[in-house]
Amino acid sequence: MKNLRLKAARVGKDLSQDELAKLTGVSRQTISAIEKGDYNPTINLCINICRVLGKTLDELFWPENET
Amino acid sequence: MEKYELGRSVGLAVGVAVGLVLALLVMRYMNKDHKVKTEYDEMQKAIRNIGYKYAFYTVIIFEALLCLVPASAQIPAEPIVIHFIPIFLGIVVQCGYCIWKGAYVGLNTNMKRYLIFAVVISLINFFSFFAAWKNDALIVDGVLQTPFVNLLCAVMFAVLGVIGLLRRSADRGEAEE
Repeated sequence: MKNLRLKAARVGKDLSQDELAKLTGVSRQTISAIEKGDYNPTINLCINICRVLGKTLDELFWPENET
Repeated sequence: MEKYELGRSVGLAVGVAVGLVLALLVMRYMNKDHKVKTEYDEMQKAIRNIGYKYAFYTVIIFEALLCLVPASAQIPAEPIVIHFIPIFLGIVVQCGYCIWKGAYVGLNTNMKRYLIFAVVISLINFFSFFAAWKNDALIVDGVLQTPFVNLLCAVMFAVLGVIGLLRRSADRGEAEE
């Protein structure tokens, strides 16, 4: 399932996938795979992404219909 | 003849040792932080593990198929050629899978240096193969000789290069804002 909230938060911060990848210490392909729903990141990477984007885990990674 | 075989084995061992040292130096040079170890993120590590699994199966299957060849059948190639085929197949499977899945280039890899290195190695191998071919040293008495390994190596790099180019064009097709 695509993570559109992550994509929206990234675009909201005016960051490219490559820039977000560098800020979180992963490859651009990993950010792309998370956004496309092809890869489930570990909790550590989720926290890193949330810190960089100024969002909470709930806002970016918790299933929408369960919040 | 025995002296020749011994000399050849010692030469091969020395060559492998020198090659390992050179490989370590090249790996340091190709990483931006000049560390020998290439760093990968968590997704890349997971993908690479799957790549190693497929490469392992490839080598096993090749060796199993080789066992089916009757002992009486003479394979018209030097043993080193036969041994290098599964090695190169395994490398192509592992590296090809990782390239396609975006897990080949490490976080600290200097891509420009890496590409230059790959092209130089391919060309050296191609020229070695053509030199042997020109000098009629590729096939002796109907048996494929060691320089054929150079061709296998060059083809391996070429195949990986093609996979890389295909991946790159697929990446460009992805919407990225």
